[in-house]
Amino acid sequence: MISEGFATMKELWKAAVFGLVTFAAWHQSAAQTVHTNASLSTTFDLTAYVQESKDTNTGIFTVSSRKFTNADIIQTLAVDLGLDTNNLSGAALILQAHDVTTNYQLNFTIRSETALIDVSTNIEAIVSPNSPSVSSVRPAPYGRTTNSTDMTIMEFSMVTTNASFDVLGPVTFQSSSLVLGRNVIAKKPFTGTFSATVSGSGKIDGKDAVFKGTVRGFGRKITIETTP
Amino acid sequence: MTITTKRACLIAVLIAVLSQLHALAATHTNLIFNVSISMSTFKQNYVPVSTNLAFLRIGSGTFGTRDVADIIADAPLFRTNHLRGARLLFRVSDLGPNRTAQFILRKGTNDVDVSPYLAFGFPGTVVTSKAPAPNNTTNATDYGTFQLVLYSTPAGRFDVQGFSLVKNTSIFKGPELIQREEFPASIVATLGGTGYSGGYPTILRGTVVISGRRVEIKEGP
Repeated sequence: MISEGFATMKELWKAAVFGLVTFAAWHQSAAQTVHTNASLSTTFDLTAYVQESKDTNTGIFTVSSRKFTNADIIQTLAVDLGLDTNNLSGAALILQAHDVTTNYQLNFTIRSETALIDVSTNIEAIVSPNSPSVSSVRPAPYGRTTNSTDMTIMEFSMVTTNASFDVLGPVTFQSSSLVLGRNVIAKKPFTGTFSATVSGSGKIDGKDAVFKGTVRGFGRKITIETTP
Repeated sequence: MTITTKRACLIAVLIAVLSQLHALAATHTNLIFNVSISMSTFKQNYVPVSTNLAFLRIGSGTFGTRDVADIIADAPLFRTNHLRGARLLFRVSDLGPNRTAQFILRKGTNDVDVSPYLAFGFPGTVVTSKAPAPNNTTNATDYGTFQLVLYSTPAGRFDVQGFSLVKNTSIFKGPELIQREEFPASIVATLGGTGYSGGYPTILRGTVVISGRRVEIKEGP
């Protein structure tokens, strides 16, 4: 009986402690939200052909060519957004998806040593839902994860005071299920890498420009963020 | 009517007929370009694995100038022209201010305008590098976006675009300068885009080269 009574007390304690922990967890979850975010490093490697002069009297028109890369994009975005460019040396341009399991929208963000700066009002990546696409989907054994390859047309558009462009071209996405550690967070494939060959028009320092080059995304990172 | 008057009337009629004939057989100064299209295709395939389940797969392929020419030759508008095996060329007709331009299929001496099915353009900004050249001629290079569209045919359609380089020179016919103002001599474009092949979505990547400009003088209506 004693042992039975002791056992009963133990069960009661267990139940009490379990209840307390559950309540605390519930209380915390009610107050905090967990976000699963994904990010991709992005590299622009463009060549810009810029109309430098058009002298109709002499009949001489000149064009200069220059590289236009991440550093130029970050610089021109920083000027427009009034950011201290000294803090942006070594900054990266990333595509970020917030709440990736429910939201597939990717926004451009500058990641510096100290901050994440949303620049989606000035630069965006667009895959038109009306554009034809082709896919190859490869479910893994037992249907735990899925890999896919998708090809379509992707457009990148940037508007700032000193430079702007609107380029598009064929893109290949390599996607896979979201896995964190050994846990499958989302079976539906999400972009792991992409590579786009693009061209289009724009302006640099107020001068007409034609752009061509590549845009790549790689190095997918999954992070769990808890917010109040 | 005297014999002299009769002769005068006859001569007047002859002159009128000859001038009419001359008007009917006008001389056209045209430019002809070779066309080279080389595309890789990525077509949506469906691999059935059971009665109600299919895997999505991408089937790759290629097509070229000859395929485009035959697709157009088989299109409803030209099926009765028996143009299979014809050569796809680009023609600028009646060089000058009233010129027109179109893709043509040439079989023997027969040229057929196929612009209802195949057309190109330069959407967006073009920047130009230009300088006077020796002997009162002009050379220029245009950097821009080139777009090529194959409109709906039974075999499929596509719309591709990409960066292009256009080399322009004054126009000579042999040693004779017939247009000092620069005019496209070659177009080289790297393209990508979308389309449908056999009703299935298709992604295309490739190149188009329009080159080998030459002057052709043609008599015709």
